[in-house]
Amino acid sequence: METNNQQQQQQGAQAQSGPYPVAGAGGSAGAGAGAPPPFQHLLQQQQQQLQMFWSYQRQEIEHVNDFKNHQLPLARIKKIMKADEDVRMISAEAPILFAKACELFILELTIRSWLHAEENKRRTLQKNDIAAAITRTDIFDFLVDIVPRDEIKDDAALVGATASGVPYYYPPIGQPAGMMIGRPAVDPATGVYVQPPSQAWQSVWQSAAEDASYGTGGAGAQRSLDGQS
Amino acid sequence: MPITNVTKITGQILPNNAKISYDAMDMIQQGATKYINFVTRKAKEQCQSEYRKIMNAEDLLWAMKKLGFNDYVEPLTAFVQRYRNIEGSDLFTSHKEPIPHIENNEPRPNPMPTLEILHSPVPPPVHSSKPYFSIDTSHRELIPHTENNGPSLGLEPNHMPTFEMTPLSPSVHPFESYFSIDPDTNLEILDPNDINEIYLDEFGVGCSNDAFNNVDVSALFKHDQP
Repeated sequence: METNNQQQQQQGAQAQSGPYPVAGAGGSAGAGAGAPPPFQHLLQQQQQQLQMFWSYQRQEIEHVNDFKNHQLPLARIKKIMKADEDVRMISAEAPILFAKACELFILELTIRSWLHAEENKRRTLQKNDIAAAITRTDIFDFLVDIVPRDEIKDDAALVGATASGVPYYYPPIGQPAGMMIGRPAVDPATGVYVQPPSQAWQSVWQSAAEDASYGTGGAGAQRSLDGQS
Repeated sequence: MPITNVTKITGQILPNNAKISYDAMDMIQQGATKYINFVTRKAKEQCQSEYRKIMNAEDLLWAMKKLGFNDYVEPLTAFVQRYRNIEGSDLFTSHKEPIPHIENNEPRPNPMPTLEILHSPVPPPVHSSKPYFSIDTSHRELIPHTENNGPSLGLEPNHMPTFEMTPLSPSVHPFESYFSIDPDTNLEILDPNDINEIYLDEFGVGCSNDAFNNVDVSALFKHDQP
């Protein structure tokens, strides 16, 4: 996990500095020649998507004008906060702040889960995708108790993969192992929840991505978007 | 957290052709609730360490930083500052709440007109109906008196002249010639006893017997006076 954190920090540093994208591209090209190239590339794409998400959130919050129409109900948030008996009095700002914080939490958890679904080339977000996102992210450790045992077995497979020398994600050799475990290649139609189309945000997301990327980084952004689609 | 709200938020970030299973949506929903409990529990430590009873936004931001949610602190800090800048308008909007109370008072005056309607029809018909009814009944009762009392009076011939005199008094105008010819008759009409007889006739047949008795008495007085 520490290695993962360091890699994240390195990726962040590379993204923040302007002149480095060229060197970064060279680095990725060099890595392409080696054995782990697809994982390095995939990791880089995922980190870029998460950074785009956070930069977009910062921009969006600067333009917030309506504090009454929250995505989450304030009364429900206050009720959950007061589930702790020691918490008796709460200022008016706290539930409003939590409404925004929960929105960010749900968005981050959804993105990380979707990245896992994309790794397995699926278009439907499943329970094991959520479980994988929870186990892979340190700040989500408090959610381990909602991960079923079946998913923990998958995590054991992950640990095995990590022990074999692969940095963190499934190797291409591991995919047949996953198939052997019994994951369905095709998602069953039953129990599927269709997401409503939100083109407005999609356009904003793409425009934010374009703003965040540079000349050389633009190519990377386009690749990540293509991968996303 | 309500599943509909979670669905809206996840819809913002996923591609159009993406789908979410119900199990996944349920896990995200549980995660959001646990996130609130997790951060609240940490923020409580900050409140207790400073002996404060009210948990505020700073406590939550402190807790998030302690728990490793560093990416959240910067955007949420800007969010809170922006909220405080607009807080004044929120106080202004709070004054608008009493307006619905005024609307609640409007239905109260409605029952008044119904009360007025109940009062209005009572007095006029009562007053107006009495004189009309009395005139009609007086005309009708006189005719059946003659028919009903005829055979009974036939048995007692002494009462015949007294009976004939009673209908003469109400019909003053057509018998003016008789009044001028017979002065005794005029004296009988002017007596108050005759007026009382008229009112007694109004009450019905039972009273008519009393009327005859009174007439006899008046006749006796009249004979004594001259």
